[in-house]
Amino acid sequence: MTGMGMSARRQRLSRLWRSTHPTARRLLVAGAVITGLFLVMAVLAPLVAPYGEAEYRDLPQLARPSSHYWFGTTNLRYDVFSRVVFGTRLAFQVVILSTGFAMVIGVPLGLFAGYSGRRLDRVLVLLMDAMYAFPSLLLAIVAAFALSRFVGQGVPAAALSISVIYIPQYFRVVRNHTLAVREEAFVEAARAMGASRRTIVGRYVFFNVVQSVPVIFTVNAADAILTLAALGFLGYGVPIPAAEWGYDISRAIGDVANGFWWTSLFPGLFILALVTGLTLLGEGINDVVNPLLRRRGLGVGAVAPGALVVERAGTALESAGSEPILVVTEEAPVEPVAVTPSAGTSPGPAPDTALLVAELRVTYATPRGPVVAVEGASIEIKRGESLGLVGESGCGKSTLGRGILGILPPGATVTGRVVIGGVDLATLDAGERRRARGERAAMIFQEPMTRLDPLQRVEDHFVETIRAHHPETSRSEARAMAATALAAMRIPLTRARNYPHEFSGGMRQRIMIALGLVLGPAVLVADEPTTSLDVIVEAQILEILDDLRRRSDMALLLITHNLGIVAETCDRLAVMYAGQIVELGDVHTVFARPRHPYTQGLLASVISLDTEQLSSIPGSPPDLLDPPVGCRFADRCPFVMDVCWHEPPVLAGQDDGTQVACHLHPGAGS
Amino acid sequence: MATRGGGSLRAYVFARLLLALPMLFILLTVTFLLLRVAPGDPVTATLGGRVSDARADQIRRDLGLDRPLWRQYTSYLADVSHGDFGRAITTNRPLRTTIADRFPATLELTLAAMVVAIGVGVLVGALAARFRDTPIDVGGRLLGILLYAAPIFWLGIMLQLLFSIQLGWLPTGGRIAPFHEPRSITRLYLVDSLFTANWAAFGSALRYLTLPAVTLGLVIGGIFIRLVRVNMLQTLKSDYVEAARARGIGERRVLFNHAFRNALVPVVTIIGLQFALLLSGAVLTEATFTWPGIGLSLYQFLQNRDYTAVQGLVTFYALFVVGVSLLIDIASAWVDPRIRFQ
Repeated sequence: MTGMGMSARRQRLSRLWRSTHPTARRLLVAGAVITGLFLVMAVLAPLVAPYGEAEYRDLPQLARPSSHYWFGTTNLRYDVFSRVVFGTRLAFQVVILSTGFAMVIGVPLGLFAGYSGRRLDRVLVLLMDAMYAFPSLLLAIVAAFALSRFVGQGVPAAALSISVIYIPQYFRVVRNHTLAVREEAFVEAARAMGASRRTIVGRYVFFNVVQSVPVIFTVNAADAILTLAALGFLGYGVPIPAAEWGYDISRAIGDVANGFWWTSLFPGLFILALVTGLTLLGEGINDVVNPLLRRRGLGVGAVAPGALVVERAGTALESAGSEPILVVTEEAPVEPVAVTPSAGTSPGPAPDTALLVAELRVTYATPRGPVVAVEGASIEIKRGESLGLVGESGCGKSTLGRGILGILPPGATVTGRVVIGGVDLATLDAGERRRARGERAAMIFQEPMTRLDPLQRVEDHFVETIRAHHPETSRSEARAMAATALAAMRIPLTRARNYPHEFSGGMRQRIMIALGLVLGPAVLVADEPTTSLDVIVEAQILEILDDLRRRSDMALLLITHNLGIVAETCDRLAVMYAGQIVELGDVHTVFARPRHPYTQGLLASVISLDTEQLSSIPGSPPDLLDPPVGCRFADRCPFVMDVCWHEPPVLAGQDDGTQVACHLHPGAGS
Repeated sequence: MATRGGGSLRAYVFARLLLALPMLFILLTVTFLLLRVAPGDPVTATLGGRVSDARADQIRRDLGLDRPLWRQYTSYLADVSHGDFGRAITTNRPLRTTIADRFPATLELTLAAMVVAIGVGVLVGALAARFRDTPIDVGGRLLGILLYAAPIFWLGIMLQLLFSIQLGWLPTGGRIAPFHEPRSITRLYLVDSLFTANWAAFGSALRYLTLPAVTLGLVIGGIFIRLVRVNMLQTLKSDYVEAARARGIGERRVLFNHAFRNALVPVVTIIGLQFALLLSGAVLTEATFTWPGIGLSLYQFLQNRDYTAVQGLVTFYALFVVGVSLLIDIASAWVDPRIRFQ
């Protein structure tokens, strides 16, 4: 380890620490404090305890807890407090010895099995699996019982019996790492350079296993203390005069029957406290170190548009490979989003406007500060019109779509105005806003495979949706409506009672569309509805969507990164970059004359039949935690000017009706 | 593990059986080695100087302990395959009889404990997930950890102290009041007394069962709390839950009909996996409440250092564990066809 490696590791740890939820951090600290206190007590036992572990100098028998004997005395005239303090020391001895034994036996076996492979490996794996499947306490009992015959009872015998439980765990971890690394190319390479293969494998496995040791150790320690107590209770632990909690509790059963509660209460409380401390510590370390188990942030949406933004921000700000980090601090949602009207709202919509979004701003709370995923977006879609919303992944287009529906995860703050079919959502109460979803606006998603509840029949989704909005509808009426909706999407009626997994991806997307339309919404938000489907199915779905809006006068907001789809399906186009709409206009006009350099770049990166070159936009989007002062595209823009670095351009109308936010064009600097 | 021949249930059962056999063989061999290969002979170790040398020799001959070790091993395997678990040295009774007598009590206790565990785990776990990172969640998680951290026998003693000694509501040990046993049908007292409409027996059995079942159930329930919570957190952020919200389904319905129901699916499988833990816990619970099951027998034989008895009971546990895990795997393959292809 070089000095730089150490400091990088420390940085990584401190970043992990900061990104962990405060509750998890508090629990970890509590666990560390409890464990630390017990450790100090174990080391200083002779100083802390007023009497020896098995010392009885004229102590009264079964004295109640008092200022003389804090925890009372036992039947055998021992001081309970001194016994439990010395019990701590014994517990730590057994924990350290038993995990030590388990490592000494399990690690070489794992290395050996993983390295040698073949038949021996298979036999060992089978043996370890069999031991792992057996009830762990029974395994320890059998070992202790067998050992008691020729080793006798005591700390080493107890520790060895308990270690039998953990040998398979260490064996597994080490064997799997060894197997994984055995055939790695770099091992061959290092060997070609003269290093012994065995050394390399050993070193690699060591560093990998060492990382998981703190968690395994604390979890095993907690378990070992409980097992030791159980062995003691059954008479196969560490016998008197040693002070062992489980044994003392088993001796106290007779006292309980006569109402002497203190002899059993305190040893048990000590076990409870120490095991709790160790468990909190182990889970806490796991929460901080193991990124897989840590929450990836969003309580609701798995597609988590904000997480994408932050992920990019994270990778831009720090080294590659850092985990996307987004911790939401608010309580779980009942109504996840509060739409509050912002000052200076634009005038009311024209009568044929299906959807009006004005100055929508979505902020996610993250541990490293607020991220504005959508910054003052305004769009308007007329009845029967379709608007394509395009941009790179992470630009905030999906967040905008969810913001319209009001289904953003907890922790997202939304300001601005959303008017659907002439009704301002801000004027609705929570229940009306819920009902607006489905009735006024519907949404279909990128991944139709996971959007239907796997445990519900397709038909039940319809019945549930219809009755959630119109409770007076009978089930049979709702089923009839479902049949009509499914028939319109060419799903055979015979399949209404099938489960989602019995349908193909294209069929499921058609079911999702039918489900979205069953209540007759004015607006359909389609978030990359064809990205996960093959080309033929994609064409089918796009045709359906196009047909729908023409016939039923529905407005379509099509979110996509595919400009080809926009050209085919949409009347107008909005281009989003880093949370802002940078260009908005008629599809043909914008395609013929893209004004914003970003739009130009996007169009240039599409392969079409008459161009041979494929260009891409160099660079990456800015960090939204700390967005640039001026134009957000400035550092990727081939035409960047001085003003671009200082002054954010505003969206301004051009002579052909297109709006663009760029200093190259008139009106952007006002 | 690929089963050739595709996803037929029969092929899966066959492959799974083939896997169970070596595991069973290994467990039996380990049990035999641990308990028999130690120096000295079991009869002296068990009975010490309490019987004459001639009598000890006699017992040794009766139990076949005078034969060479490998002969003992082969006849042990042969006996086990016939369901013969040997004889206890101290009581001279066949262990098969002991197991047959006491197994129903263990079964009744573990089933009742499972009910308690699932009730506690599902309720607290779901609430904790629903109110994530609120005091309810922190409280639920802490309860899960505390229940796991409590030694079963100590929890049992504390409950006895409170409900039996202080309040006098429930008995401290045993399975039913003397002379109250219902007529034997299933030999589960609660079930039998229900079948025979014997309400006195039912009440008595319930009173005796409550504390042991709650003790064992709470400790196992601590683990279920965590499982249910984690699963529910997963389903709460699933795609179909978001889609349901987007359709304007009420929050309560989203929680119960979509998040909760889906969260229970993996829990059912994992509950089966906690079976080994339940057996370990049952030994301690039975010893604490003198509940006359197999665990109490094991405890008593351990106290008497009866080698052949401990060996017989541990052998039975090994068979039981392998059998149950086999059943669980086959049952889940039957429920979920995808498993058969793995």
